[in-house]
Amino acid sequence: MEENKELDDFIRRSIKATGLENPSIDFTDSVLSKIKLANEQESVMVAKPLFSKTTWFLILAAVVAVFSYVFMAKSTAESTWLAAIELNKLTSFNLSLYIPELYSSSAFVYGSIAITLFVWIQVFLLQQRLHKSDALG
Amino acid sequence: MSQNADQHYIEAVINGDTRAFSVLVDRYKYMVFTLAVKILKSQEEAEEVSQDVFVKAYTALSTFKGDAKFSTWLYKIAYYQSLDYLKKQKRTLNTSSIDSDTEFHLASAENALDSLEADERKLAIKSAIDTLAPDDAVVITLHYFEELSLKEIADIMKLEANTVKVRLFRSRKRLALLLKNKLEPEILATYGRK
Repeated sequence: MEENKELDDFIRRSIKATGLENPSIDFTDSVLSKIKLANEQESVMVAKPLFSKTTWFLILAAVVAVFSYVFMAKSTAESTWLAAIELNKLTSFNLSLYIPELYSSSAFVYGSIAITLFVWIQVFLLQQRLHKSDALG
Repeated sequence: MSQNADQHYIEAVINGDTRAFSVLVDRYKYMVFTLAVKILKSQEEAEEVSQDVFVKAYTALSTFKGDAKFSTWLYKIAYYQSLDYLKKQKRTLNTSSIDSDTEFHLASAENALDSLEADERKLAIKSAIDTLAPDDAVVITLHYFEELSLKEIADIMKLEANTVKVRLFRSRKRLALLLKNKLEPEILATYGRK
């Protein structure tokens, strides 16, 4: 026990005698200029939203207004220009009558699926890689 | 350093006075740099990492709650920033595997030190500490130089207080042994020159 105490004192005296390591003379200035740089970058990087909150509110109000008008004024908005477009024709419209028949071999179909799959995997991998390099940078 | 003395500057920095931060940097740069040197074993890398520690502390200062001492909070950042640096360099922290039953004789280590000139003694102790595993050197420096309690060191290194106690005990023994082994040949050489 006594020896532990002595050893403790001895190490304390020894460590205190060595002092601490000294960083470079311009250490504090370097830190402050790094902070300044970080502050500037931060102010540059603050992204302004494309639509302000007021604009979003106005868009929402306009959408709500249009929908409410359509539902509320249903009875008065009939039999005018909408009827002139003859939308009901669309239900009897058959696209396949107007275009030639498309034939694709099963090899073509499998190939297309494989290419799509590879492109999708590559996009995913590239995205991961970019994220990683962003995080490191 | 008292917490109140730091608090004044911390509040000034939070209120936008960047210059006030230089007082805190000047106050703690030696210890932060020393901890980084102990872990990274390179002055150049430690300089870079220490600067980043202060930049990080500056940006996170508003999150400092004041529950612990500012210094402890800062040393924690320094410790983990250094470990992160090692990780990025794909290096690992060497931890010691010390046999706690290693024999040592305090008297001989002390006698060996006494026979050296002040500068030589300083150098000998410094290089003995450098031979310790980084984690042990950190524990020794924080405890004996900064006089931090076991609990505070445990908080910085995210260890149990008991683990710190054991590590401190072993490092102390190891350091005494290193000093003895390191100094005895030098003393013999000095005698030879006389």
